[in-house]
Amino acid sequence: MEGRHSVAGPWFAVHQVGGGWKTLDEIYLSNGRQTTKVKVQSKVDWEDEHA
Amino acid sequence: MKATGVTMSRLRILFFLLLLGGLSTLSGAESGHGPTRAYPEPHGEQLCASGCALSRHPTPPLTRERYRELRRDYLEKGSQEALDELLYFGPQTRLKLETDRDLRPSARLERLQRELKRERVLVSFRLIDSEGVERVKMPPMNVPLDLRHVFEPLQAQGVQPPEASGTVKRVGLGHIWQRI
Repeated sequence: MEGRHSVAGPWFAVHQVGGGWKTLDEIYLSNGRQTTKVKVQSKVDWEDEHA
Repeated sequence: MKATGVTMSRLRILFFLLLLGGLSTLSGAESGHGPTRAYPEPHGEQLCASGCALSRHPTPPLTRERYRELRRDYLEKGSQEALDELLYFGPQTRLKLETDRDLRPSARLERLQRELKRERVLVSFRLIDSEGVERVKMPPMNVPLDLRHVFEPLQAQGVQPPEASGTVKRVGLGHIWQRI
């Protein structure tokens, strides 16, 4: 299969830096045999806490 | 270029091997495709901060007038909103500061300059089920602000390893906008 295609998302969010995991959505994830509900989560931290 | 009979035979073998490689990822085995890497992929004539495929949303220009208003509001009055907006404009603010002859040293100016040096963040992503199992995981990826990246392969358990892409942009002192 050539090229890339989106299967979920995109998601947009505003994070508080260092605020931990943020749930963006809940979706179903499947491998063709089993399906499970999952939370889509993301977080953002500073590369370096020292300015 | 016309393929010879021998070349076509080799191509068929190569295709079959590639097909086997693709099926192995569909078997549901845990991802063994190596560490996740981030690949920058700017697109459009301008560097797109949103990462949208269908539309372009670069950060609007910081006009001279608006810069002067923000400079006054933050450096003289200490406005948090002004600081947030100066950081939102990031590189444009930095350029304006470099050529601003009216600046006087101050603690607020130092803070602004210090904050403008923050150009990279760690972005993490996961799909987690109700039992706390991380079915798909992207470890903290060190990326610069304002540049779209593709992250592949993500670590996966029981599913074909996906890839992700997105952009992060600073929108305030302690806030980052993200598309993923």
